[in-house]
Amino acid sequence: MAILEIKNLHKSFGKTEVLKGVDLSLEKGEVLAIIGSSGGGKTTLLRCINYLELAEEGTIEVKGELIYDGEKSITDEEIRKNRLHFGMVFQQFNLFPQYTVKENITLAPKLLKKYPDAEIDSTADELIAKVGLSDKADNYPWQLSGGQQQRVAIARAMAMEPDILCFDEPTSALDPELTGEVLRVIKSLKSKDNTMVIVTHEMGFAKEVADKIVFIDNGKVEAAGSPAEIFDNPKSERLKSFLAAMLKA
Amino acid sequence: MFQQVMMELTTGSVKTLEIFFLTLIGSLPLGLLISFGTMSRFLPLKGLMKTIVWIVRGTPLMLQLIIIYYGPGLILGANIWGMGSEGRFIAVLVAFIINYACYFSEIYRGGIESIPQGQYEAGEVLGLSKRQVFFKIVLLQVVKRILPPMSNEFINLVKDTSLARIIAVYELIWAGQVFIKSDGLIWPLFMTGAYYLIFSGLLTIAFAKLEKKLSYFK
Ligand SMILES: Nc1ncnc2c1ncn2[C@@H]1O[C@H](COP(=O)(O)OP(=O)(O)OP(=O)(O)O)[C@@H](O)[C@H]1O
Ligand SMILES: [Mg+2]
Repeated sequence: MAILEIKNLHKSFGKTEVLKGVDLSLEKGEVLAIIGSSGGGKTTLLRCINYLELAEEGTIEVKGELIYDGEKSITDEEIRKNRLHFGMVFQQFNLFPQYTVKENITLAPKLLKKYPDAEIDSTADELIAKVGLSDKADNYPWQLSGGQQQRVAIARAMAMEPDILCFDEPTSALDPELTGEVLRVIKSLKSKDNTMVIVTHEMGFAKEVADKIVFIDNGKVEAAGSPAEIFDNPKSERLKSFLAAMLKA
Repeated sequence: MFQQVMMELTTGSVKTLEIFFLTLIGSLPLGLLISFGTMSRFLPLKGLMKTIVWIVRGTPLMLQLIIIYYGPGLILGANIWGMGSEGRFIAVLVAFIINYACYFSEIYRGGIESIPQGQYEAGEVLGLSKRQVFFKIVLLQVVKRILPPMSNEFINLVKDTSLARIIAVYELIWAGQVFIKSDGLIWPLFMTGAYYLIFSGLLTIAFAKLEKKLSYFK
């Protein structure tokens, strides 16, 4: 059974329709890379998945359970509960400046009393080690580089043990020499237990890490398939010209 | 003579201190509520709150004091503040609390609106409630940002306490001025000046300490 199933998602801002019926399906442990030109709706799609925007139409299912239906109203309580299926890593990191690395990671699990505090602390230590920041656990965000901050943000999202971890262009705000460390961490998370959706402009990374690629153009899934199908044998004309433009850049 | 002056000044300064602290106790939280009102998505509430803030900030505190003290008596025909100095003191507090709450509300609003949307969203996607996001994530960042303008307002309040005499609340300057008329003495007034200076100096130091305390994050 698919871990994530999105059907016919529509989202408008005022009169502009940004998502025009998006369908997606993902199996547990898969990595999905979403590519597409600027303004196509990739961020909006991730935001709808995380309830930061509410789609007007369409459904979202996680592990076969309907967790969102655009036709029905949804309460804040349901949103809070359902969004725990997802984790989100933002382009701008959005770490909490007044908390240390470790406190950033433990804040939500402790407030939501996910586990006893001691357990949350030891899990946080493991996560911090996993993203290679053990020596920074007690530092504040301003003392870290952008790449380090983004790695903390990844650990923070992982600490809530989401079924699906979403990344919105995790390296776009970084200096080029810092993208590598973040991409390596994301790659290291790939496992049969971690399902990930990654919006990215890093084509090399998408090709290497993704099991599935979706090309979103103008609010629709214009092409979808394996990395080989998308990169080596693109059928769609728009995809071809997008890839050509990416190669040039 | 000196002893008599000191006694009078002490009485006056205690009133001044009372006005200062009781005004803060009332207006700091009330200001937060008002700032929520001015940021409300419920437009009638927002409009009402913004109008109140506009009126209160746009007219002199002295005028507000007079209207709040005499207004109910003249309009309703009943002195709701009670008789004597006790009643006048309550009216002073009500006027000061409303006035300062409106000033604080604008400072809070500026602080709250300066926090990037990403902070709220990061908290919410972790499953926190709006309350938790506000109190555990946003509030301290707001406090840090509003310390400098709050420090200004606190010092203004120290000096504004002297307006209480308008409705005959015996505060510090009045206590000092008495001796001009009765004994031709000016130095008691200089002492009141020194008192304000020391008071606002202490506040400045306290705020500098707080700012330093919150300088561990950016
Ligand atoms: N809150 C909003 N209000 C109005 N319009 C919006 C809003 N958010 C996004 N849009 C519009 O929706 C469209 C899609 O935006 P979105 O950010 O999803 O694109 P994207 O694929 O993520 O682009 P990029 O690669 O530049 O990040 C754009 O035209 C954008 O201007
Ligand atoms: Mg985007």
